[in-house]
Amino acid sequence: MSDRRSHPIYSKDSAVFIETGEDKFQAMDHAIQRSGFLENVEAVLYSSGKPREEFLVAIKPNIMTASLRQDESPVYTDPQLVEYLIRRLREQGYRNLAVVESHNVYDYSYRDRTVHAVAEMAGYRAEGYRIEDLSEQKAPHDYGGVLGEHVVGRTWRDADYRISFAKNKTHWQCFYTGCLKNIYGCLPEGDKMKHYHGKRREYYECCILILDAFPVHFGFLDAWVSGDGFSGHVRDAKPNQTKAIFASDNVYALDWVMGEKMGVNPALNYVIQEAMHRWGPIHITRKGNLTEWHPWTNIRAFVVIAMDAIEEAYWISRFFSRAFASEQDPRFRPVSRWQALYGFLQSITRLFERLFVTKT
Amino acid sequence: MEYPMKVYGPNVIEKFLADLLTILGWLLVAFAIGAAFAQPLFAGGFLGGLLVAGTALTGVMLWLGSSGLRQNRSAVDVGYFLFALMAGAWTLHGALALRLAPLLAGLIMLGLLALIVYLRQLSLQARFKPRFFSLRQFETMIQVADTMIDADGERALHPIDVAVRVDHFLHAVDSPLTERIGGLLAVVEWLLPLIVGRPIPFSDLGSNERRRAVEKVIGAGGLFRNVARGLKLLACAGYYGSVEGMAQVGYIPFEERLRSQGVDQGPSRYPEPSIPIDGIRRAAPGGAAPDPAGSPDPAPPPLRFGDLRRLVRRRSRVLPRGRAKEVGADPFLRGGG
Repeated sequence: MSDRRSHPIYSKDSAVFIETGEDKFQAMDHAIQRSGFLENVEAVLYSSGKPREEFLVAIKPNIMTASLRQDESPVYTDPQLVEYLIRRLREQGYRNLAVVESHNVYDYSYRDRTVHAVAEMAGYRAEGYRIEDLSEQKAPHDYGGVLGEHVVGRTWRDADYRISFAKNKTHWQCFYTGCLKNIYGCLPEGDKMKHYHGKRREYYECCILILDAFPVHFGFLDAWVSGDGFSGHVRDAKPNQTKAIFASDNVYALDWVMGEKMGVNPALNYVIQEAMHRWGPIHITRKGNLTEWHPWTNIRAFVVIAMDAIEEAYWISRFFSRAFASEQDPRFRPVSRWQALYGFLQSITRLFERLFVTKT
Repeated sequence: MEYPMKVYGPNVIEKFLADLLTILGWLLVAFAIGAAFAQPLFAGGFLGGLLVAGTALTGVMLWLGSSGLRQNRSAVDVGYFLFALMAGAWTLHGALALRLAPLLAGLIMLGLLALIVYLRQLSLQARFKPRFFSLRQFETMIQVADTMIDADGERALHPIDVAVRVDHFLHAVDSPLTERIGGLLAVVEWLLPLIVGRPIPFSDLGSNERRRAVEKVIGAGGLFRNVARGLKLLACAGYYGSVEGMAQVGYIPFEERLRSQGVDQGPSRYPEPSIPIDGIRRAAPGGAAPDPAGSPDPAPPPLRFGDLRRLVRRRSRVLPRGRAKEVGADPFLRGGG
C-alpha cells in the first residue's frame, strides 16, 4: 500500500517568512531574498536540464475575483508586486514567463470577463511576460480521485516552475483563502459551481487534487492590503493595512501560518484539512512577526457550514453566487435584466453582514 | 498563536455541533421548566410530568454529550435517542389532544433533530471518506483496530490509519468474501457488547470493555468464533500490512537485508514448454519432412509414449537461481540458442 503522505514538496518540513515594512517593494525584495526563492528556482532549473530561456515559469495570482480597479485592492493580488517578481526573474535570465488564470463564477452575472480583460482592468501590462487563459487551453488529464478524467490548462501543465501568488483575505467557504485555494483557480472550467462543487465532489478535494498533480514550487502571499469580514474575498469596504509579504517553498505551510495570523485554527479550514489528510502533518519554522492581525474580522463557523450545505444543490449555489456578487467595472455588462434584482439582494447582504462575522 | 497540526483533530462541524448541542441542552431544560409551570398550556397529569422530565433529561444528556463529542459518544447517542423520543412524544401529544403549544414544540424539536443528525453526519464525513465501509462500519473498524492491536502500548499506527488501510485494501480486493465483512461489523457493533451485558453499540464501549467483549469471543464457538477470527484478520491486515507495522516487529524487506546485497535477484527461468523441432518432425504425418537438398532422409522411428514423457520431464526441470545465464544457451529456451 503506497503512503500518500510523502509528497516531495508539501510533506517536507518548511519555513515561512513574513516580511513587513513601509515599502511594499522592499518587503517583497526581502521576502524573495530571505526565503531563498531565486536559489529554489535555480535548483529546479538545474534538475530540469532545460535552457534558461525555455524554462517555463507560471505564476498564478488572484485576478478573476477583481470586479473594480483599486489602487490598493484587498481582493486581488497587487499586479505591481507580481510584476516586480517577474522583473526579478527576468534579471536572472528567465524569459519564458506566464501569468495564468481561468474564468470564474462571475461569468454567471457579467459578460466578457475574459482573463485578459480582467487582468488589463486590474493593471497587468503583459510586458516581459504573457497572460494565459487556462479556460481556453483545456487538455485532458487524469487526476484520479473525485476529479478523475478531467482537463487542465496546458500552460499550467507544462510549466517547469509554478508559483502561487495569493491575496490575504477571508472566505465564507473556508474561513480564509490563501496559496492553496488560489490554485483552485487553475481548474479550467468557468462554471465552477457545476464542476467542482456539490455532492459528488467538494471544491477542496478538487483543489488538493490539482495541487498534488501539478505541484506548486513556491508561494507568495500579498498581505500588504488585506480583505476581512463576511465577503472579504470579493469586496471589503474597509481594507486592512496589514503591510506584510509571506513567502515559502511550501504553500501548505504558508497557508497554515496565514491562518494563525488571522487568529483562526488553520485545521478548521476545509482546504487545509484535506491537505493534512493527503500530505500529513509537517513541522513549520515561522520567521517574522507572528502577532495576529488587529483589527481583524473573521467568518463565523455557522456561515462556513451553511455555505457548504448550500453548494450541494447547483442551482441554489448558482443563485447565491449571483446574489453575493460584487458590482462590476462598466466594461463588463450584466448578462440579464434580472441583474437589478441581484443588485437588490447584494444590498441586503451588505446590511446583514455583521451577523456573520467575529472580530479580533 | 501557533496551532498544532493534528490530522484527525476536531473539524469545524464538530465544533459547531458541540456549541449547538450545548445551546439546545439549555433550551430544553428551560422549556421543561416552563412547561411544568404552564401545565394547562402544554400537558398536565402523569403524562405531562413524564414529558417534562424526559425533556429535561434530554437537555442534560445533550450537555454531557457536547462536553466531548468523541469522548462522550454514549451520552451523545443517548441524547439523540431521547431527543427523537421527546420530539415524537410532544408532537403526538399535541396532535391527539389537539393542543397547539405541544404540537408546535414537537414540530420544532423534530426540525432541530433533523439538523443535528445532518450535522453529525457531516462532521463524520469531514473526518473520514471511506471507500468500502459505511461511516458507521468505519467507526466500528476504528474501535476494532484500537482493541485488537495492542503493540505493548507502542503502536506504530493510529487506529484510524489502520482502519483507513483496511478500507482501502477491501476496496481494492475483488472477492465475494468482502460482502460478508459488513455483516461481521454489524454483529460486532450491535451483538458483541451483549456478551458482556452491555446493551449499547461496540463503538460506544470504553477500551477495557471492548477488550473484555473480544476476549469472551476468542474462546467461543459457533458464530462468535468466526467473528473473533474475522476481527483479528482485519486488524492485522491493516496494521502489519503497513511499512510501519512491519518495521515494528523487526521485519526487514529482503532487498534491504545485508545478505541480499549482490545476490542475483532476477526471476528464475524455466525451459519453454515446447516440443523440439526434431520431435515435431517425427510426429509429422507421413514421416520425415522433405530434404531441400533432395537426398531422402532415413525414415525416423515412430514417436512413442516414452519419448513424450522424457520430453516433458526435460521441460519441467527446475533450474537453480544463478544459472539463468548458463541456461541461456539452451536451444529450448525463448530467445536461446
